[in-house]
Amino acid sequence: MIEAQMLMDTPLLIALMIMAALVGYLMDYSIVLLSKFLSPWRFLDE
Amino acid sequence: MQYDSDLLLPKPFTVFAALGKAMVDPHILLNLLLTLRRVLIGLIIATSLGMGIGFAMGYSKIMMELVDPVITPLRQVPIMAWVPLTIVWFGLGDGPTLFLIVMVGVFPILLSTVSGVTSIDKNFYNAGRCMGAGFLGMFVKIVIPAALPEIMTGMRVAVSAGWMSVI
Repeated sequence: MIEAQMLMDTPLLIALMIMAALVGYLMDYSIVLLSKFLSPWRFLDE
Repeated sequence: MQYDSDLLLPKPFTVFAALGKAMVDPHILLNLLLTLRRVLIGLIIATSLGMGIGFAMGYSKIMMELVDPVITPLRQVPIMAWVPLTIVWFGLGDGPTLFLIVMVGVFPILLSTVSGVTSIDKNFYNAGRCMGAGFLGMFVKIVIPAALPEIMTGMRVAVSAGWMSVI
């Protein structure tokens, strides 16, 4: 990402931002799944 | 009127083409995995510290009064202010990065753990004592399950903060 910034490669920079957002989303979702596994009583109404 | 500047705002097709190439680029994938490794290690350390201190602070008023005046000012220090110190302490490499991830992640987990423990209904403790539960039994069977939902929320905040700080 820093290389893309220095080279002013805007399409690659935005693509890497999208990749970072996707990875962050996946990590957050895995925490939600862990939460559902460890405290299932919270999600009984769903 | 025509807009055509890939530097200022590239076309969506150009971005998706770059995204497709980036997703199969071994150099980018390797760096992503290395970053993920650092974030996961940092979060494991942050979770251990945050939950440990948080349980102590939430369960004991004395610990709360002793530790809170230290934790609260520490929370206010901008994360970038730690960078020169971490380089001096840990040298170049994974040390400073891990320290920053831990510093960013520990406080949401700590605060959510304290909140989770302090919001446990006293009747749960009374019921536990009535049934003969000792300190360890109450901790494992009452405190941890009751505080867990809030701790998981704190972990979600810590994960995103840690990921953003390392990127």
